[in-house]
Amino acid sequence: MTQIRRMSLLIRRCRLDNYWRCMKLRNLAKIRELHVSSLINLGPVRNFCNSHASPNILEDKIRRYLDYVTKEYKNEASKSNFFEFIDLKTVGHLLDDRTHLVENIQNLQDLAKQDVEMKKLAKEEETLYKEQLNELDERLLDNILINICKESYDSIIIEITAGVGGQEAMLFVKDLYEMYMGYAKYLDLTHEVIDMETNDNNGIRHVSILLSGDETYKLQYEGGVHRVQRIPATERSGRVHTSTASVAILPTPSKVQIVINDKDLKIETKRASGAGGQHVNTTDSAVRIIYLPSGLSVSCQMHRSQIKNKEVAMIKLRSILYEQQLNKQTTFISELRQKQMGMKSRNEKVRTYNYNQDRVTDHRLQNGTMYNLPEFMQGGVALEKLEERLHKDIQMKTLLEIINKLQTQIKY
Amino acid sequence: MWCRSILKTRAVFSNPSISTYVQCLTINSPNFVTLRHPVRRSFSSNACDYTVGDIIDQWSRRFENEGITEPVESIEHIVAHVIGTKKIIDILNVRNNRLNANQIEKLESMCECRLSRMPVQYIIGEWDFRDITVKLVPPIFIPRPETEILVDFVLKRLNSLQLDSCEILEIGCGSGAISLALAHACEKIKCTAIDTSPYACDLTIINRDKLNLANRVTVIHATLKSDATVEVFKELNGASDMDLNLRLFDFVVSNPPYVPTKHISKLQPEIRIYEDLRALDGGDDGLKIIKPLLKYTAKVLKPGGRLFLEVDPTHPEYIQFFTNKYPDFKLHHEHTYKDFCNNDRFVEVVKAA
Ligand SMILES: C[S@@+](CC[C@H](N)C(=O)[O-])C[C@H]1O[C@@H](n2cnc3c(N)ncnc32)[C@H](O)[C@@H]1O
Repeated sequence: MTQIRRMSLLIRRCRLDNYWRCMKLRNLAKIRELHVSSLINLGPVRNFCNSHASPNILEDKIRRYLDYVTKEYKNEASKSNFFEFIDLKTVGHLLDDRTHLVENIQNLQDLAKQDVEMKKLAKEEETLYKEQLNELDERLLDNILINICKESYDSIIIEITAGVGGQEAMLFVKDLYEMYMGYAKYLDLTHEVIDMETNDNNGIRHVSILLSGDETYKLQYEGGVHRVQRIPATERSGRVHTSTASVAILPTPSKVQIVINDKDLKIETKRASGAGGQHVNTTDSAVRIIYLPSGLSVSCQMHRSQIKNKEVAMIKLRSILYEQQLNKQTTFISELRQKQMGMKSRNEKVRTYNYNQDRVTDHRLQNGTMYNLPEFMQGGVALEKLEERLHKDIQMKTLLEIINKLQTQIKY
Repeated sequence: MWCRSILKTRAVFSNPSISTYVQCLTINSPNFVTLRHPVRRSFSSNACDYTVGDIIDQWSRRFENEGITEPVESIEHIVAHVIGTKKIIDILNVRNNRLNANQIEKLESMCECRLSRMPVQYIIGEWDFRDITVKLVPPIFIPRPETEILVDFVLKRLNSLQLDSCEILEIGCGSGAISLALAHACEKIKCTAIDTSPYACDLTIINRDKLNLANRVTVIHATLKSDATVEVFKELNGASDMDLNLRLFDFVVSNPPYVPTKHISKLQPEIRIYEDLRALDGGDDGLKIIKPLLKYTAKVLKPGGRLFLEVDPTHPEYIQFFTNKYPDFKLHHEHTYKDFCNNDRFVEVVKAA
């Protein structure tokens, strides 16, 4: 930035042009990286930048938020907890640059006031600085937004449970299960069913899938109540039924995030009684773990290897303890975090699958209706695109929530 | 030779359906054993009409009536194997499907074997051990779940010592489960696996080659003798450094025979009839192999090297006594670990630096 400031107008323009061109190129290349993709795909932010001629409320709010952040950053004593969302290591130098720019603009304005001769020249310079400020603010915002939704986990557990609608709801669980399995394959996630309860008619009452890989965050917003409207295969009269299934996304925390003391565990296996070891032959490798402090119990019998069953049971246990821990924290920040992870929306109706009209509607989005249901149910690019839209939307809403909260707390 | 021991046991065993199992087992090559299932059409000719769910219900009831342990698991694993999956859960999705005639024939002959108390692991010819699947053939010892934890302790220790490479000797490799799981889990590990049974050595090699671990796991047909030396019979597949009384290792690991002889006759028929009892019979006190093993280990461990043993819960006390009594061996009992059932099951011994 310091360098740019010393350059001639012309060169500065070029720099900026290059920046935009480079962004477009990246867009074409469709690089699937989180930070890049959110850098390119920030529709609302782009608007905010381009529409500076007619400032709207959103822009104004964000600008003032950034002013506040810059000020707080300079003020080392301040330990505002809103900084939790800002990674100072990557954003620090941007904030420094911003301070300079704002000072420069201020100086120019002062200069223009004092000296009428200089006024025209100063105005020109000022426009330039403001342009730079816009560019800078956009980058700052990108960084902050990335951070807001950076909650990412190597693995998650997705749980699908039949809701109202009996048999038909269980068939719908099976459809969702197949959709997410397809999605997992599409995203190249390793996927493993760790629990399943079926009924006799090919339906599924409950299923848990453990997913791991780089892109598990692309299921972040699937949590909530999913609704299906269709004529059940079993229905002769041809009446449309509405049934539901609930989807929960449980992030699985690392061993560091949730530390479990071995002494707090009671592990039960088939061999709990008797001599064990070479004395026994068994194919029962089920493991049940009881967490003594709360009596919570988890089990796994998926694998033929006992130690793998134990590992999976521990993953389940850690996820549950993690969720409980988050639920206990009721600060504004922790609630925001839970919201981002879709943990607060478990009972919220998020989506409707209407088979007769061949459409899916996500109720969290404006214009949330998509057609070609069969394709969507394969869990491919259509679901990925929807997740991306939800991501951007929720990111922005979260930021605004932070800003609004900030406004009620501090006057800036 | 193991066949003889089976026949001996058979006389003691009184299940009438037992006559079928001898047909199940045939030695079809001079040094290897394969499993052949008896072909018998016991089930009704309209078996094809049944769904997978029906088959499971019917057979688990029959197993239960005939006193077969783990009746439901048994048929579920057999069905899973017949439809080509390792996971019982996959059956849930096909409960309403029907098997074809070939599958039914296979399933029924396998169920016959189970009626003769053959362990499921032998019937389906494989089982999982940690992250690997090992082929299993009677009478070679079926890896027990406890032993997965033994491997855990070895890997954890390797991690905490931050060694750049680790040479491990395994005494009594059986199907190869321990050595192969270790090498599979960590690139730094090189194993030398020995067993007194040539069949066990062959099976370890088959399992090793399936896992592409030939470059890091060497198998040697050799016996640990009561005088605490190792006699090598045959080098298998290019082992170079053959004198196992001179080489030094970072770790020695073993799940030696440790069942006291007096308990052998009380073991489940699955074990008594089908497994090579020399793989688990540890003599009067269960220490027959463990004693020479401690002495031999004292010679071949590098200073600071470690021995990891799976034992009977009565043994850790003796091992501690032994290391104290013979300070010349420079062995130090470091720790006794419990298995999931709270039994003292694993011992870690360190050679003084
Ligand atoms: C309990 S089994 C363990 C097999 C395998 N390590 C496992 O855990 O699945 C013991 C093995 O030691 C072998 N064995 C018994 N006595 C031996 C000896 N004196 N020297 C070498 N191997 C021996 C047996 O043949 C058998 O394969």
